[in-house]
Amino acid sequence: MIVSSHPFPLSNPLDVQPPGIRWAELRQDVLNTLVRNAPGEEPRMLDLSAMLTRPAILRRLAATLAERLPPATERLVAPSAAGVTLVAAVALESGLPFCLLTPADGVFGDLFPGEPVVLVTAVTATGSAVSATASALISRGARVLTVLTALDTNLGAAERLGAQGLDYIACIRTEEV
Amino acid sequence: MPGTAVADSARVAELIERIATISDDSPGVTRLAFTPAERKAHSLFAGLMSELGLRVWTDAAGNTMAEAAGAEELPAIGTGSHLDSVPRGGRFDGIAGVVAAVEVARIFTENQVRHRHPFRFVAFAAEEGARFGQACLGSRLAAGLTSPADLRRLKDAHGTTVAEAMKMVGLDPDRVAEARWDPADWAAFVELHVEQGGMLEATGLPIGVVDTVSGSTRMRIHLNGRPSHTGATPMAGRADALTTAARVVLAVESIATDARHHGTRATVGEMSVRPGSLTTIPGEVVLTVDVRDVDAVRQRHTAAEIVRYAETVGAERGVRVETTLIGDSSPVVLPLWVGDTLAKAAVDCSAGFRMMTSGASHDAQMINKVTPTGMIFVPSRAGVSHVPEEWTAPEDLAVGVQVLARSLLSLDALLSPEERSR
Repeated sequence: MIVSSHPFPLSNPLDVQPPGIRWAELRQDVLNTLVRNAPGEEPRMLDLSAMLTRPAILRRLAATLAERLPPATERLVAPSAAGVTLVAAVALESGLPFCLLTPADGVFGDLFPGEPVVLVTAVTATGSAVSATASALISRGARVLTVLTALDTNLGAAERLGAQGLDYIACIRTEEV
Repeated sequence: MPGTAVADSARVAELIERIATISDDSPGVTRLAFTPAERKAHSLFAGLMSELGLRVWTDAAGNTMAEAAGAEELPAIGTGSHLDSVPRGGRFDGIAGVVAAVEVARIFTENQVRHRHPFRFVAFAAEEGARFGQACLGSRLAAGLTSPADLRRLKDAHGTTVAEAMKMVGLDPDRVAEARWDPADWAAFVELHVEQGGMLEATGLPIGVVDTVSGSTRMRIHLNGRPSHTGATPMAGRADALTTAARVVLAVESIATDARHHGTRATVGEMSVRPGSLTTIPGEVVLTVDVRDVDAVRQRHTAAEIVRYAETVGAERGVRVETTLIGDSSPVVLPLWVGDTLAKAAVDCSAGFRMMTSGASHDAQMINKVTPTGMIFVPSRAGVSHVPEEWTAPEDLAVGVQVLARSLLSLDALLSPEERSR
């Protein structure tokens, strides 16, 4: 609780908190939604669904990701249907159009040759899936400016994507999940 | 499962009544933070827990704890709530969670229930902000969120600081750092509390599992117009601070109920009008706005929208508007796996439940900074609290006790040192 007698920060209402606190709270809220009890043998499981379906978290994640978009970005790309809520939220935040890659090598939405795109993913682990998606995008003629992920579980994605020559930005890195 | 030993609703009701007799005023219960009455309630709790054979102590912050040893050397699983009240308040707010803790301890002790982790039953001190303006002092001290300097700064209406009040009841405010909880010493915490709203009663469900606690942004808006004679001043060209304030009050309600604000609660709770004369156009109004939300971003943008509205309508009507931020806290998502465990416990006890948000702040919110924490709500009759009419049926509270007992045993089975997630 901040107790003060300052004027309300009208130009950016979020400045009622220092940015560092704001960031730490987002990180903690994400971590608090990620671990769920599982019915099976493993008592816990990693589950992104709450993070991606609660607007109170999705909104902040999207704003954080949108701040990191390269200025030249013309389109956002979701690698799969599971990532569509996040990419849609970043689209609303940034004003950029997006498309979704569908399982049968199709595209939901437009993706034009030569377009500078950013691949937006909710989570990366080893980076193999996102690396394959980036290759598919490149073979379609898109220019992949960067790979932007909400959550990196520190299992080698940065190294793999770096080796592929791709720029990579992770919003939250954690070994705790 | 041994936890299925039945909670005794008569015994629960009797203890609620017994604690309610410790009061400094009537009607209702007056047992303010860091008063002899609050300490007497803590002593009663300590005595009951000692009788059950638990190890009992009161820390430097005035929080009383009772520990039932576990079968293994593990961090503790805790439960509890607070024993202080607002002036002329009710007998359940906070007390329900402490009485539930006593009943759970009794069930476990009498049935010799084995648990791996130590179980700690806690009565927090000074949860109500009514006396010192700061809520959750005991749990904030446990979480390291309030400092000895804060205790010397915060005062009650008589000018007594928290530190002085603590000394008067035999607590040493200079030693509160010792009351800080070590995260390594805790595995999880569950607070049972009365809902203080009408959702459970309306839906006929005995249990609420809380997954989010609201934040709040609080502001004071000063409106400065031009006082003058009510008869001699034509309607045109007035700068009436009160009619401007009225527009602001209605805007607060309409903003919080528009399509973008499902779940937002915004309230003007105070307004003072000066000079306050039948024959003078109000020249000055001061009002406070409390914006509560489960969405951290929306909460602050809603506050800003209210301030912008006030400034715009003030400019139109010749009334100068100044806003100060009184306080700001963020909403918190409680760890969902704890909520999953509590929900499963409700199912195991055949108790209907729903997931819900807490609009009020609680000790659990502070303790969540130390260890993963969950909350169980039990129904409040007519949704009211902080009044003598506050009521939760003993049978409902007994269902809550049952679910709490089951939850603690489920956490005991689920948690192991390497699985702790924080």
